[in-house]
Amino acid sequence: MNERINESLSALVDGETDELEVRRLLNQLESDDGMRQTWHRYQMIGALMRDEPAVNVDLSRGIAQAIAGEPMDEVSRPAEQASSADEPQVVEKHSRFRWLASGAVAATVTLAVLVGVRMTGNAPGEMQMAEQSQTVNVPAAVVAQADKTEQPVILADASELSPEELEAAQRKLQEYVMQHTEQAAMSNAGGVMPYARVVNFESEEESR
Amino acid sequence: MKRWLLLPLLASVVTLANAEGSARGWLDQMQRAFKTENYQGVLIYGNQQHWETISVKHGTVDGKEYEMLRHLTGVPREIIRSGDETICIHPGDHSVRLASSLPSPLQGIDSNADISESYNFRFADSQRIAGRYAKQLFISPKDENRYGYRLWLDQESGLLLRSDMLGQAGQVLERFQFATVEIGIPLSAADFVPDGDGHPLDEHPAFKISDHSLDTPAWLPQWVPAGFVLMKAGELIPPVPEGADETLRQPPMRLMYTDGLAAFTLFVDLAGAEKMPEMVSQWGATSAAVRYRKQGEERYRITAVGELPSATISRIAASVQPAVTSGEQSDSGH
Repeated sequence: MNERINESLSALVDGETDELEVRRLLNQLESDDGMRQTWHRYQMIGALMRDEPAVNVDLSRGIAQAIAGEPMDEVSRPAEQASSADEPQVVEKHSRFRWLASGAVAATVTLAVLVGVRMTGNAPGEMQMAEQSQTVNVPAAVVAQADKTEQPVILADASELSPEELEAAQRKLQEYVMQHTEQAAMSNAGGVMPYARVVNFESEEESR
Repeated sequence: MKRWLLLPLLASVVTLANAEGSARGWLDQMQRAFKTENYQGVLIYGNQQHWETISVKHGTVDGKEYEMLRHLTGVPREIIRSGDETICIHPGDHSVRLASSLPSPLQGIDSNADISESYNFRFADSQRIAGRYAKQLFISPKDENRYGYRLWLDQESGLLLRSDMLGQAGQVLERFQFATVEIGIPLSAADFVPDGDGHPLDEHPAFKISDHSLDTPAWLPQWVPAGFVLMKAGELIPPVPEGADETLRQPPMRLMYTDGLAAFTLFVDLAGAEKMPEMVSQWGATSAAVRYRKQGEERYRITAVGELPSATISRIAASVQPAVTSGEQSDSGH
């Protein structure tokens, strides 16, 4: 395992990584046992250093579950307890995504990832994707823009939401996005060839 | 107007003005070509991480415009438009729909707008795209509140053969490009019949979204980037398909703005007790922001969506205020 990955892992535990990095790491965590152990170790160390009870929950799994659209189980519980802790309401614009290292933030990560993913997912392809693989299914568009250091997902009080509420919220936003694109296309007097931004609502993904 | 005063002084401004005029002409031609030409081809659409391949067919038969888009990658799906009717075909019976009318890379293009207020234009050497010669047009934003474009327009017809939407660092946010295209081919109505191709495909009628326009919107943004004007204000008539999302019951107020090339839409609706995180999100070229505002007893949700930088979308959403001081919002939906 290279040093960069270790650094990234450490950053993730310390809440200093961005969303893109989270996704990358998740991908690797899934396939790399050694790395998973390092991840747990770092989590423990982090917890000890902050004088918190060591969290014995694999946060990565929850995040991956969230991404795959599966119900979140063990992760959501410690997260809810911790969500009463003071947390910044909105992550500062333009800054790199800063996760705080705590159970509460784990939830935020989970939900942030959920928001980002579901919002762009939910098209007909998604269900099949969710069934068909355990791999983390990251919408390319999100990755692409994160690559370019545009800010990814910012969210405020998502940690107070249940997965169902979050899903409803995402559906709603997706509906608005669709209406925007449709109406924008139509008010071009139907003249401009309607092209394919719909790609953004597909979770079809080349395996990476 | 001020530009006219400066014209004699600056030779470069003269060329710029010419480029603007000519760019306008080419953009108009592009729109005409989209609408009136018969063409058929395969295009790729996406960004550096992800591509979709789509076959496209467009034509006018007996005065009626037809269009068919078929996704060649991923889940088989087709969108067929004939006149005002749109049919989406995709497998499964999800209540989720496909966007019935797919957008152009230039969302808010508007022939009447003064785009030179917000963008600079420059032509570059012709390049070959999809086997045809294409004129290159660079459109760069004059401020940080919008994206740039690089367009390749067919020399003969003006049809858009390739488009790059460019972020502020010049990165490509979205690209589409014809791999192959035939322009000016004969097509008949029979060419626009759905093709099941052996797959179990269900037809999903597209949502019809109509709106009656509002003369005095109850909510207005206090800030929009320079050059953006209100194009349409209306109340959405909620679609009522089976299995419709219950959150669609209340018709949101909708305001659409354009600067002549880019567009954003503001939605304001009653949030009720619904929980939805305040957020700003961006994927590809599209940004969205959700904010809440209390007005009287009610809590309203403000959603801004558009092909603008997320910081701009966020600022617009945050600036939305009730347009009237009274608490009565007769047209904010019930």
